[in-house]
Amino acid sequence: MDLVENRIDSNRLDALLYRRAVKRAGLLSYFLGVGFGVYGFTSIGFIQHFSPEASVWSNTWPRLLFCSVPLFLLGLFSRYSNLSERVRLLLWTIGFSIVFHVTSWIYVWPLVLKGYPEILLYVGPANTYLFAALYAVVAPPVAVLGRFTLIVTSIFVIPLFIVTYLGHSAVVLQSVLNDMLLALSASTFLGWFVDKLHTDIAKFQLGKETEASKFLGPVVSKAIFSNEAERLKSVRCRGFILSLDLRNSTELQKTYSTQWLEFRKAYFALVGELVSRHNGYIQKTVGDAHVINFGIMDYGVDLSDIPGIEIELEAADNARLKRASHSAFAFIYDLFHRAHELSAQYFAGKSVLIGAGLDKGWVERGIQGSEAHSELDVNGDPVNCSSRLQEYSKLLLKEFPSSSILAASPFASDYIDVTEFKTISTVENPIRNYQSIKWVLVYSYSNAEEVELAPVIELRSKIQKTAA
Amino acid sequence: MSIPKMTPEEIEVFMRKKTALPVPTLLTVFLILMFAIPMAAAVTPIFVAPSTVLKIVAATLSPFVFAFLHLLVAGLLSMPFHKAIVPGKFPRNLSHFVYGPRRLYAICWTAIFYCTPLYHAFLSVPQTRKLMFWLFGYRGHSEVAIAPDAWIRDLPCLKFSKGVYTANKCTIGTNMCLSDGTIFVENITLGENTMIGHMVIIGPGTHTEGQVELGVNSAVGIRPRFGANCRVGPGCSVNHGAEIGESADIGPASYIGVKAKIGSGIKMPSASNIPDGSVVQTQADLDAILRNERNELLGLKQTLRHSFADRVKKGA
Repeated sequence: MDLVENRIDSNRLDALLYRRAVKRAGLLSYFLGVGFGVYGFTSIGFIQHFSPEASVWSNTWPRLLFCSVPLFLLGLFSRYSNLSERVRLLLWTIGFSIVFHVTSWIYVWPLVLKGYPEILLYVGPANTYLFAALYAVVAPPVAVLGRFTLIVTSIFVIPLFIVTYLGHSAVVLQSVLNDMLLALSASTFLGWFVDKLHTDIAKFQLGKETEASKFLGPVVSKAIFSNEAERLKSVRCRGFILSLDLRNSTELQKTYSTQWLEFRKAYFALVGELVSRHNGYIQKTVGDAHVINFGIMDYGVDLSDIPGIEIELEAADNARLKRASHSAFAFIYDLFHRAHELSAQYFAGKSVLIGAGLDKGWVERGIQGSEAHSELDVNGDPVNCSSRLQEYSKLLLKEFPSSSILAASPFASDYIDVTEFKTISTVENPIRNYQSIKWVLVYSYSNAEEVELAPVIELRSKIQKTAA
Repeated sequence: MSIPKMTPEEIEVFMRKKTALPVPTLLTVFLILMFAIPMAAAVTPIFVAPSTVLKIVAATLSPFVFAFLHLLVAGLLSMPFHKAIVPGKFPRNLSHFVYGPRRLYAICWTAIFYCTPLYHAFLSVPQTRKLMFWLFGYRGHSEVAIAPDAWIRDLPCLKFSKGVYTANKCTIGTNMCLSDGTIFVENITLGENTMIGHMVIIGPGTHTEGQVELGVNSAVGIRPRFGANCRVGPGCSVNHGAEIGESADIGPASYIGVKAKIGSGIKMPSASNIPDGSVVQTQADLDAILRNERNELLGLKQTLRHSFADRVKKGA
C-alpha cells in the first residue's frame, strides 16, 4: 500500500476528496430539507407546552419556507454550480449554518428570550444528532475541518450560547454549554475519523487505478482513467501485425523447468520493453506467443467521414505506415539480437530461437466481448495471416538452421529496403490458408548454437556412455 | 443522433429520416413571434399609460422591455430544439429530423446574434450573458470571455472551461458545410484559460487542454488536439486531426499537416512545414524534417536554375 501511495498524485487525491465531500453535502441538504419540514409537525407538542397559541401551520410554514426550500436550493447549488469544489464546500458550510441559525428563530429562541429557556433542553438532542449527521456525512477533508468547525461555531453555536445566556437560567446555560461543547468536540473527532476512512478509500481507489494501468496498457488506461474514451472507438485502418513464438518452448520447459520459467519471465519483460520503445502494442499473449501491432493504436483521429481530404489522408496514412513499418522491423532486429543475449545468460551462451510472422493490411480496432468481459482488440485478415506466417517460419528452419526467423508477407515489405532479406518462394510449400501468397521475405538471425533439448542431451550422454 | 459507426443501410435510413415539424412555416412564425411579442409588450404601456409622466416612463423603459423579451422569447422558442444540436453529419434538408430542428434553433440564436447592439449589451452584463447562454443550451463554465463579434453557434456543443477567452472576430466553428450536401457538427472543448486569438478560426472537434494559446490569425482544422500549455504562434495552420503535445511551441506562420503529431515540449521555429502524418517526438526528429524540407527546396532551386540557364543558352 505504501508503495502505491507514493505514486498517487496528491492533487488528484485532494480533488477526489473535495468532490465527494461536496456531493455528500448536497445529499445531506436534501435529507435535512425534508427533516426540517417534518420537524414542524413533530415539534409542535413541546412548543405548545411553552406557547399554547402556536399552531401546526404557524410552526410548519416558516420551517418549510426558511429551512426546507433554502436547503433544497443549497443541494442544487452544490450539485450544479460551476465554482470549484473547495469554494462550493465553503459556501455550503456558510449557507447550511445560516439555515440552522434561522430555523432556531422559529419559536425556540424567541421563547428562550421570553423567559422559557427550558425549551432548549427539548431541542438539545435534535441538535446533537444534527451535528453528528453533519460531521459524519459531510466529513470535510481534514485540511478544512478547522474552518468548517469555525464557521458552524460562529454562525450557530456562539449565537446559541448568547441566546441561552439571555434566558437567565444558569442551569440551562450550563446544560447547553456542556451538551454543545461535547457534541461539537465529539462530532469534530467523528468528522476527522470519517474523513480518514474516506481518504483511505480514495487512496485505495487511486492506487488501484495506478496498479490497473500497468495491466491495462497505455491505451485502455488513458481511455478509462483520463476520460479519453475516443481511444476505444472502433476504427478501421491499415497496420502491421506481428506474431511471435518461441521455438520448441514445450520441450525446453520440460528440459529446463525452473531455469526456463525464469528465462520466460525475462523474455516477456524484454518484449514489453522493446514494444514500448518501438511504439508497438502487445495485443495478446498466449503461452510463449505474442501478437503485437504497429501503427494501429497510434492511428490518431478518425477523419474518414470528412470528404474532400482523401489525398491528404492518404499522405498521412502512408507516413504513418512507413513509420510503423520501420518500428516493426526495428523491433524484430532488436528482439532477435537481445533475445539471443538474454538466452545466452540463462543457457550457457546458447540461443533460444524465435519464429515470427509479419503482415500488413486492413484491421478493425475496437472493444469486443460481452458485458461481463470486454477487451480492446484488433481483428482482421492480417492477424490470421501473421500467425500462419509465423507457423510457416518453422518450415524455413531447414534453410536457416539454428536461426530466429521472420517471415514477412509481400504486403509488409512496401516501406523497407528488401536487399537485407531473402525472398523465398512458397509455391512448393504453400502457407496454410494463404496459398495466394507466392513468396515471402525472410530475415534470419543466427549467432550461436541453439539451446539443446532433452532428447539431444540424452543422446549425447548415451554416446558418452557408449564411448566410455 | 451522431453517426460514427453505422452500416451503409443504417446511414441511408438516418439520412432519409424526416421530421414531422412544418419547419419552413415555423421559421416564419418564430421570426414573427420573436419580434412581435416584445414589440407589443414594449409599446402597449406607452399607449395605455394614464398620464404623460407614465407615458414618458413607459417610453423610456420600452427599449429595455423589448430587448429582454426578445431574448426571452427567442431563448424559450429555441429550448425544445437543443436536442437537435448534437455532433454528427446530417443532410442540409429542412425536412430532415435533425437538420430541420437545427434550423429552428438557428433562427432563434441568429435573431439575437445578428442584432449586434443587443447581443453586445447582453454579453456586457454578466446576468444577461448567463441567462442568454443558458437559454440557448450552453452548459459550460460561466466565467468565460466571449467577444461580441466572435462567431459562435450550436451553444450546446460548446464545452468551455473556466477562463476561456475568445478574442474579436474569431470563429468557433462547431459546424461545417461539406461539399457532399451535408453539414458536419462536432463539439468544441476548450480547457481552462485557453486563449483563442484575434481572427483565429477553429474547426469542429477541436479539443484543447488547459492554458493553450492559439495565436492571431491561425486556422485550425477538424478534430485537432492541443496539449496543456502549448502555444501556436500567429498565422499558423493546423490541419485536420493534428495533435500538438503538452508545452509545445509552434513558431509563427508554421504549417502542421493532416494527422501530424508534435511531441511534448517541441520548440518549432517560424514557418516550419510539417508534412501530413509526420511524427515529431524529439527536437532531432524536427531538425531532420526541416533539413529534408530545405534540401528539397534547394534541389528544386538548382533544377530551376539549370533549366533557366539551358533556356538562356538555347535562346542565345
